[in-house]
Amino acid sequence: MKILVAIKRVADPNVKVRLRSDGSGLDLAAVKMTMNPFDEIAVEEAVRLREAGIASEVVVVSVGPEKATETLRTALAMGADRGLLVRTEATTEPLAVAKALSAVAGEEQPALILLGKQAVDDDCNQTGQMLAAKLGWPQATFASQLTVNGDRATVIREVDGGSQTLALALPAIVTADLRLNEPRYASLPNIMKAKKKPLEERQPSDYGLVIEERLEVVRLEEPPTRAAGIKVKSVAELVERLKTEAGVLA
Amino acid sequence: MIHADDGSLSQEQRMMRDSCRAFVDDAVTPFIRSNWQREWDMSPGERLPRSILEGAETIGVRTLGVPEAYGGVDLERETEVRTFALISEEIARGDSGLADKLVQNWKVSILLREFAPKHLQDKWFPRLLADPQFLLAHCLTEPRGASDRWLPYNVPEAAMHTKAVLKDGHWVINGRKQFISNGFDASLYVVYANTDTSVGMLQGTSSFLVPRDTPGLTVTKCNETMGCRFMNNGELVFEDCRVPADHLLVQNTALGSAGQYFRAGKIIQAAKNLGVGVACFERTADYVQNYVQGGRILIKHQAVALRLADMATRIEAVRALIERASRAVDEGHPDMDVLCNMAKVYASEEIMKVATHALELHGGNGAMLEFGIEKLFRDAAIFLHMDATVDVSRMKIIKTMFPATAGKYAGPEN
Amino acid sequence: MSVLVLAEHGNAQLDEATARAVSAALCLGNDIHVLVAGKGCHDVALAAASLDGVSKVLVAEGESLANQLAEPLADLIVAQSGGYDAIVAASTSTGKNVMPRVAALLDVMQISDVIAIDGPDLFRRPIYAGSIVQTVRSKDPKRVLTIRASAFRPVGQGEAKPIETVEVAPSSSLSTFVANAVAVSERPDLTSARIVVSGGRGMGSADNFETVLAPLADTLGAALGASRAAVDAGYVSNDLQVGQTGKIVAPDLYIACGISGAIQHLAGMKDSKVIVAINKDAEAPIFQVADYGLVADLFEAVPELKGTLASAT
Repeated sequence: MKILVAIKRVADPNVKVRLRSDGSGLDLAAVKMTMNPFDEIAVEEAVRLREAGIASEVVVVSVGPEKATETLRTALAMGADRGLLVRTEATTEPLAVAKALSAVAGEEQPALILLGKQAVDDDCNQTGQMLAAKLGWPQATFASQLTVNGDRATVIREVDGGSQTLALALPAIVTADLRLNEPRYASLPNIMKAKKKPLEERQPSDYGLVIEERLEVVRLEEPPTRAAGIKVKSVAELVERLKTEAGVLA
Repeated sequence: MIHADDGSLSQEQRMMRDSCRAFVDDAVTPFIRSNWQREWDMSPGERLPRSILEGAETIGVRTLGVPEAYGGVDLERETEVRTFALISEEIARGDSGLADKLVQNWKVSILLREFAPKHLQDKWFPRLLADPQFLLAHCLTEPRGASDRWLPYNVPEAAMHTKAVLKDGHWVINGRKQFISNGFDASLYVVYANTDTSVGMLQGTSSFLVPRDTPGLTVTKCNETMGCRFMNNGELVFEDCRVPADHLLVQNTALGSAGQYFRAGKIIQAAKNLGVGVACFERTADYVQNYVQGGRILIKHQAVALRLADMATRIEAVRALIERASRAVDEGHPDMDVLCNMAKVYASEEIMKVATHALELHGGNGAMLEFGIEKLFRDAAIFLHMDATVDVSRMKIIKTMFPATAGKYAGPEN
Repeated sequence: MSVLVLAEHGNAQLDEATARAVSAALCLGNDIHVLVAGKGCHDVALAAASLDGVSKVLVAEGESLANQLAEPLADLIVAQSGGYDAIVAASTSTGKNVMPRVAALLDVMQISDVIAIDGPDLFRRPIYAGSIVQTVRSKDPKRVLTIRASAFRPVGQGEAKPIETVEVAPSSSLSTFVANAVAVSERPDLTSARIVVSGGRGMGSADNFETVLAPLADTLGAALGASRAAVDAGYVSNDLQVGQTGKIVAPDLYIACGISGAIQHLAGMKDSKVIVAINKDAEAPIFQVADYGLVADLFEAVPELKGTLASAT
């Protein structure tokens, strides 16, 4: 069984992203980039399925800029077998990415496609669902547990009230939530080994695609920051202030 | 700024840096922050929980320098020392003592890789790989002197006091080693001893591989230090300690060969202190942008801003010198020894100033244990005395630059 | 402009998020239809029909819709979408699951987690865990959006509007429902509670959540929340997670206990009216957003707070 994992290069979520001082856009020049954390979980899950003998090959794919090769290499260092970059320097909206991934899936014919549930830069939470629609495949989003048995997958999903269990006929799309697993680090020896793994680069036009934007960003702003309040000395003072000053306690 | 410029690094170096940083941010920094008393646990064997070294194992950072054939990491040799520097800095950004613990392994592994006969590599590398708690130590310093008296003076009077004699197929070692990094808890030691009293150190010192459980080797104490407290510095006594003849690494010319270790070691150590400086800066920059005094955040007070600028500038200058020196070592440049010592001096003193500013800018909080700034200050301060003192390093700079006039032996002290 | 709103419900009861989604839809147009898809959801339809601003309710019932599975639900919405300029759902786990599938089937780029509507094609939404707010203009002829419920006031009750039944075309069963594990709680719902008491890794154990934090929540009539660290540590179940990828809450009072305040957590609660932080680490970032910070051991401060409040009432 072949697993395809889609990954995205994003700004390090531990870094607070700011606007350029002239307001002309995001100041990402000096921001460290990394693999989207949810995608790391997806890669880890795929690698575990291969280590368990359930999957035979793990192919990682990214639709993004040339620098995303580094993100793909990281996935290879985590244990994926092969990488594919669909290279575009354009803004990649989920719809366009889903179309590109759908074309890749047409060539690769995976039995399972894993993605992170959302990218922590645009926070869209769409690509997996859109890809499922484009392929006409079943979807299980926000997975916290995945079991593959023959041509079926059982997924426990994190939903508002608790959790939901679904059974899917493969091929299917599964998007990873935080608690699906704890991804490994790309270890230093494996980083050196990943250098030798195959990584192919393709253009969207190879698939007859044009990466287009449907949303025009007309403004970016930083939300008003919450001013730090005061430190209270005691529980008594806290209660007093909540009652009289803040008026949130009767 | 402050961190290594991505553009100066290879893709693999960036990935390695990222893995190390993730490990530090996920495991090391939270441990240090939530266990600030742990450093002062006076049972050195318990001080650093085993889980931290097990965590380090998940990024494979303990076994750099071990050949890939044994499961280690084969770094690109042309940039090996630069990679070491990068990783040492990243780990030290989390904890300088932990970095020290790990880098001793790299440094000794390089020696084994370069000088140990195959049967010893076959024996020890697999054991090193198998146990996350397996540490290596390099035993050079003695109570009666170290680099202060030995290295510039290649005469019999200034030789090592620890001696090894070949007897019945075994080397018998007698003597004492002190201030040994990882000395308290290493499983395997590289020990230097005099094997020819008639010549100078460079011609009469040999190195041996001594397993911890060798009869005649006693680890006598753990030195309780002011900084780098998660690395257990120890003292060792050798009393008729017999090691098999084939455990000899380098006969008579061990100190010359150890250049492999010394140069990379200087860079790794200097980079480690740079990591302490980076941690000082990150913590301080965060603090002064949030802490309000006189109605405005600290960074808007000019006296604060000026000191912060100073910290940043010093860090960049130290980084530039380390980069130049490590490149020189990687490329075998003739000036590499001088540059290594310069990097050591500069990384010691400039980062000490950075740490001092961090302490100042945190006000009273800087002195409090739970803020962690005084720890960084101690970790920076101890480095003035690690891997040769700064003044000895200065002497070496001048003696190497002016060997004919400044390199002369001035006689033994007593 | 006509807008189709997807009702959020569990077949028995209409969720308040629907009233908030209607409120968002009213920013786009005044012909608002609510689609109630489910099984045995007649009461839900009645409730939806009495929401202020709604002009019609469509009810689609069938076995395949009983559990809001994405595939049949998306097919249904697409089948109904013809006459609408926009399709709106709340950013609930159902909305987030099904709406992108709808959007892709319609070849539309969805606008996720909208917090403000500035015009028929202009939407504001947070990105980078709320560090930045972007305003986007949709170039698509039809708009598909999910809205952040806490950013819109729920509409009130109005006159009952007509309810219409729609046919459900057979949908291939790509995925099948197996089971739901619903966390049962006597406490108010996290996303709509007036007061939220949240615990982090500093709680130390599941037991402490129950014995230290829960009594405070119950004294205040508050919902219980948690940081990702606490959920990851297994102290509480995942549906209590507040943050960028968990629940987004904006109560009148948010009390964070033993929560360090990672940016991802702040993203889920920083719109709360009043934030209180109790943490023994004076350097914890949570204090940067807290209106009232108490540097203290929560195991002493929380019981004391509970005691003070209990004796006052």
